[in-house]
Amino acid sequence: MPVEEKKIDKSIGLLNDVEIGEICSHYNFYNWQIVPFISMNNEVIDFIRKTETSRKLILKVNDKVFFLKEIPWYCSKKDFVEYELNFQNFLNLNSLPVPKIIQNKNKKFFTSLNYGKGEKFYFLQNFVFGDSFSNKKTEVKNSAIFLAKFHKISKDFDISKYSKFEESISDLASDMLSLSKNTLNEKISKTEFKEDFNQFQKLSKKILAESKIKLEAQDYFKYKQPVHGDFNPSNLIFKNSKVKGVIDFDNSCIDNPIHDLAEALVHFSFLKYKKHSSLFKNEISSFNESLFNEFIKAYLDEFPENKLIVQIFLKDSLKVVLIELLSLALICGDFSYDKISEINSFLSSLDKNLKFIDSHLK
Amino acid sequence: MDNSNVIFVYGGKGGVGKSTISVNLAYSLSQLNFKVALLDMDFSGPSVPRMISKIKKKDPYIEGIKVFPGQYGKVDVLSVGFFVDIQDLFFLNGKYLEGALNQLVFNNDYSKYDFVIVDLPPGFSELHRQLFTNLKGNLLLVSTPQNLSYDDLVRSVNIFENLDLNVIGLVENMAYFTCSNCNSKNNLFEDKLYSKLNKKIEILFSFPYENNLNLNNNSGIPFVLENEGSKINNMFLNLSKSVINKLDKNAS
Repeated sequence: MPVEEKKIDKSIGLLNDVEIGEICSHYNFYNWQIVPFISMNNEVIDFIRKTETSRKLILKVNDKVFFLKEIPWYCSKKDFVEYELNFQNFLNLNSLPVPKIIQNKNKKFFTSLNYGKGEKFYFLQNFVFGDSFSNKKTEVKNSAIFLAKFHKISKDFDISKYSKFEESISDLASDMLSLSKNTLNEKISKTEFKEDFNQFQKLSKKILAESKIKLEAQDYFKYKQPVHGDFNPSNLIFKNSKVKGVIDFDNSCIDNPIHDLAEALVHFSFLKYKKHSSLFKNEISSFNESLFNEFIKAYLDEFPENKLIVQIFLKDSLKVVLIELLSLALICGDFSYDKISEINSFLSSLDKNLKFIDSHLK
Repeated sequence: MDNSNVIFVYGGKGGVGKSTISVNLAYSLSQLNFKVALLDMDFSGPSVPRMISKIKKKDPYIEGIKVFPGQYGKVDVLSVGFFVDIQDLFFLNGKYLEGALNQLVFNNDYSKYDFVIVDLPPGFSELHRQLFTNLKGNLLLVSTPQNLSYDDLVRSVNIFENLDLNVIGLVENMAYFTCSNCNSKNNLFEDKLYSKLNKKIEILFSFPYENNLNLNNNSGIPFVLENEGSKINNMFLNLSKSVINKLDKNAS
């Protein structure tokens, strides 16, 4: 989906009773209850308030517990929704810990409502009870193993109908960088951080341009397959440190699997998360090399055939992903403007900061 | 489900001291060795958590999708204020409210408790409707002895009778204060109100305005625990006994 339309709306509101009732009737569910509270990491939390990007809730229908989600507006097109849910269903059928999608009374994976503000899509999947990521090394390792298995199995998904969803990590990052400029320029130019932000744009553009050339010179798209597109701790559900569920394929696209691996490495070993949230902590530091190594070793042990892809593409992909995620964090307000100069320092010595990965490129 | 152990603490207006009465009634019943649960159902402004924060023994927890109370001293307490920040609170209604109440109250077995004290928010809203129609219980009314409060109560009692709820009686709060110099009892409100209450509402107890009782609400320890053996503690014990008597009489 085009990144220039993607936005995070924190005042997203709730699905109302009429909407939920109608969606449920499409599934022949008439005895349904909302479940507002769930347990995560031994704490009772209010699930509804936890949602930050799209409207979702937990439903109890007779004895079963389901997760109802509204497809976010930035990927709310029928052909994409069909791709996303068919792909998720394929993964579930191939025994990956991906929740099963419930078919409606017309045997489709999604349903829609149109109350005059445009068509919105909804789907139901089995709810996965479990805990959120708690920074354990075994969780990192198991996440990497899952990603490897996921990449192996995804290769067998038929993408012949879905070429329009091809998108390279470079283009994605580039769009995200532009979006950060369009969204923030006016605001930041009125502050003391105007120059820092200009510098960020300049540095990032240069790095992206150089990286894109290097990636594409090496036959980047030869390895294309469906990717998760947002593989990070907040989309993983754990039980006893094992991956019990992987969710949120809204950002899935057809790309080189280095897309997921680079994003995962940045999420697991560079960015820090706020508790029970998909928002980042307001901190820039360096890579946690031990976590980085843990992840990549586990991934390659499970899927050694992808060693070549790592050797060729990892370094430049990491640079691209860093810019993508840093831009996104600025847009969402996860980083305050005073952090931009720290970001610039980090980007200025990017090669030095990434030197430690050389051992994995041999 | 046998709900005769449920006591709804209800006051039509805000600020009459319902939560103070609920909390201290619950803990004085526990002083009499009864097994008590306290449910803070004020979703728009839960005040119970800060009154008991320092005596926590165990957090509330979930099994599957059922929420169980936490242990605070000898009383099991459940409040939505435990897992939702005050600034995040919004008005739950419709199916969200019903779902929350299912998880917190209706799908749980409270029969093991001798008493379930349910602290209600003021006014009369959908929350009240859902609770009263799903949990048959007894009503303990709380009011300050002033005209407007009493008018409200009389109106409410008619609604309760239509819902087939048993009104135990009325607790008057902040009815008088005792002068610290001469110990004379002074009524806070001048109105002669008792004629307004019909014979169906009996005044179970009159509490004075007690400065310490009010200030104590933020201390994290219920007044009757922190001031065991005090005059006020004894008043609450007497109220507890009156409530028990009325319920026993009703059961027969």
